[in-house]
Amino acid sequence: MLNIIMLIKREIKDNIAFLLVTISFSLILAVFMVSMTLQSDTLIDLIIYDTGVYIVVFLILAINFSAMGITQMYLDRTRRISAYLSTLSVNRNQILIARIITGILTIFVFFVPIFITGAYQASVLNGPIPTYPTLLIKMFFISFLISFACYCIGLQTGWNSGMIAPIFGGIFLSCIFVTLVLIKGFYSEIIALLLIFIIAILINIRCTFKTKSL
Amino acid sequence: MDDSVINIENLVKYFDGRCVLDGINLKIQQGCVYGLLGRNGAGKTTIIRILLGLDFPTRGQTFLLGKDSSRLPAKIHGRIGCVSEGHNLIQNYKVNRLIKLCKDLSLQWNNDFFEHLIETFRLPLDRRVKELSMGMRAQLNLALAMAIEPELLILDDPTLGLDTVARRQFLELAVEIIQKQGRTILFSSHILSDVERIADRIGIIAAGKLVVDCTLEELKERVKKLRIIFPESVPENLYLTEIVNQKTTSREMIITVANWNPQKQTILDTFKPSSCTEIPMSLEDIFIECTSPVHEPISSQIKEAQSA
Repeated sequence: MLNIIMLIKREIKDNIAFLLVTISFSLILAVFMVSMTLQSDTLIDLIIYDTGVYIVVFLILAINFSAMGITQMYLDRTRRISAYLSTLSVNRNQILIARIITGILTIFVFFVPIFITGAYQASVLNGPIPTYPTLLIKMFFISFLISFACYCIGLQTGWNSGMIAPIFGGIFLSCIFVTLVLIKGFYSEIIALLLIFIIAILINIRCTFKTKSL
Repeated sequence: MDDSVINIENLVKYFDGRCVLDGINLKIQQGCVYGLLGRNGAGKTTIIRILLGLDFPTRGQTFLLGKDSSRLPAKIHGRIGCVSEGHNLIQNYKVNRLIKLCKDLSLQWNNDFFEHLIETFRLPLDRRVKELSMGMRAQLNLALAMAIEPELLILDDPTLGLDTVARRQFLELAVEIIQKQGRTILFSSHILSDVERIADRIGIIAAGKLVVDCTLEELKERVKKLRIIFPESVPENLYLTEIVNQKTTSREMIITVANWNPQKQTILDTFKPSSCTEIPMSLEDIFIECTSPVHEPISSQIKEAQSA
């Protein structure tokens, strides 16, 4: 367990740029949401503005998470980081688990402030939409799953050989995925679809990482 | 009970349809300093990578400290020190960050010994690993591997790319460590003098096979190079088995024979040579004879004789 914590620390330090981008965008969005809550005349205006900015920021961060996954795996492969770490008292499973936990933590860094701000908005505004809290939770949960799916796509493509194909392939897949969900909307079925996709890709990543030469 | 620290059973490895390792069997007992020799591309590094779980065998099994090396638990990894070929480490890390990482991820850490090594090597802690010279990286790699007080130390061509002075320094330290600690060491190299200096048992890989696996003394005893001078011309009917190499002039014959024994001496004596002197052979001479493709069957005969 202690080894995994050390490995997570290492991953965070190595990928600090992605974490800083995430924190910056999260804070910008949170500040925007609070200011809109205080300034908006109607709840409908607030929802429109919030959703618009949220979608833009979320798209940027989905690409950020995908790029983070690509970078983690690409640099690992080219710098042979796991090959060295494997000679210390850790195994491949622990390296991969630490990497994925770091990705999840980075995604959480974005969603926690936004979720708190959203909850604040819901408490301040007693609008005409009674389902707002449920919708908010569902929206954040699906957004989280999309972000994680994008991150997993990044991990998957980053382990491939070459540089151009993994980066553009990962970003392209992430964009398609995000757009698809945005078009179809935040329905419960999409949760099942995303979970299946994530589980399948995680199994694939684990098999690839465990069986490839380092 | 089998107390071998390293156990390789019928190891076969193919790369792109090319057989690199062809049925390697090897056992290394605790406390042994084993020198693994072979020409470039013979498969030494592949064996080590498979042992460390970095690569997988096509067939066969390998065991390290009693555990299947393709599924080594983290705790077993923590008992193994490794100095890899090229000393890659983590190139973009500063030395002190790498040290801290290794320290945090180790089961045990002998800080006094590590500090002593760092002082001896005068390693700059604030520089990135990629900015260090090859010699410094080798020293850092060895210091990191030794600080965890490993039961098993695996050195994969550690002196590759080092200049003569750095190589000598590295080997002197390795000898010092070996003498002091008495742990199991697998040392791979293609520099024979390095292996000769520190190994007490050697293995030679040629054409994907382990053609020699014995102590250095045994090997030197078994392979003899003789200069024989006859009173007249060299007899045509002189025949000895397992001749590795033979060169004949009118009265003089120089032969290299595997598995030299009193019977062969008796046969030779029946031809009443004027003189028979032994030409000393270095490990390098034996290595060249054993790895030469022409004489591969002889190498196999050496091994068969050893097992017999």
